[in-house]
Amino acid sequence: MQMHGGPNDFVFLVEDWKGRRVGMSYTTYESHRDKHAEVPVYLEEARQTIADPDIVHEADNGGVFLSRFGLGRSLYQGCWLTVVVHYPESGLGRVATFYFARSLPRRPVLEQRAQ
Amino acid sequence: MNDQEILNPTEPLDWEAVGRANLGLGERLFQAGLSIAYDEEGDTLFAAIGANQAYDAITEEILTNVFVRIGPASLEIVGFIILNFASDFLAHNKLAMEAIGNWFKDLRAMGGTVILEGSDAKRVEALLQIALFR
Repeated sequence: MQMHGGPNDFVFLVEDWKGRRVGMSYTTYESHRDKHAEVPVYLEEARQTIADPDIVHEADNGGVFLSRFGLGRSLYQGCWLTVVVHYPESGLGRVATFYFARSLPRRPVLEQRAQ
Repeated sequence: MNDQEILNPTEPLDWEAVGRANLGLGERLFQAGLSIAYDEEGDTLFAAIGANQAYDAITEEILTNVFVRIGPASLEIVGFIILNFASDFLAHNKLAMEAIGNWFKDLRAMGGTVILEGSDAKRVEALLQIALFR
């Protein structure tokens, strides 16, 4: 896992549930690291959520909210892990942010994959 | 039964309790200031109360693309996230621009600080300055 670099360096790359490549760039990671304590701790769980979300909600600009339940520990038990991914017209999907929430996005459901 | 009822076994956040826990938000902002980072690649703005403090927080959407970060135990608001910040929030939402301007003006009038962090923050500095000095 690379932990230094620029917009084309990634802290992780993963195939999403549809087989598309998605990455979280180091610059995006760096924007979170000093403010969001959960982000460095839950990178692997964010990967899992992208690869195998429980539910997919529509976001603006062709993006999606990918949510998975049960990955949080301690303070985050009983929360959803939600990853916001943007898909440019070409190239990799990009993680904009990820976070724990008590509720799912209030957006149209695109796909429900788990009960 | 809709999907939320099937999939969401958690209790919803108690917003009244959040309100009670944040009666001192203005004072905390005054004391600690607000640090802002902008990720151009994701077009996402991150704001946190205080500088160089990483908070554990749950994140809830309060307006479209505007999220508040809340300490899971304290229920104190510790920051905000705004998605599609330059492309939508600032570019298309004059009301939001005005609200941000008033908010920053109040914060500065109280002697609070606003810190723009990193090179990407500089890229939206012009947009933020418009809000800051309206």
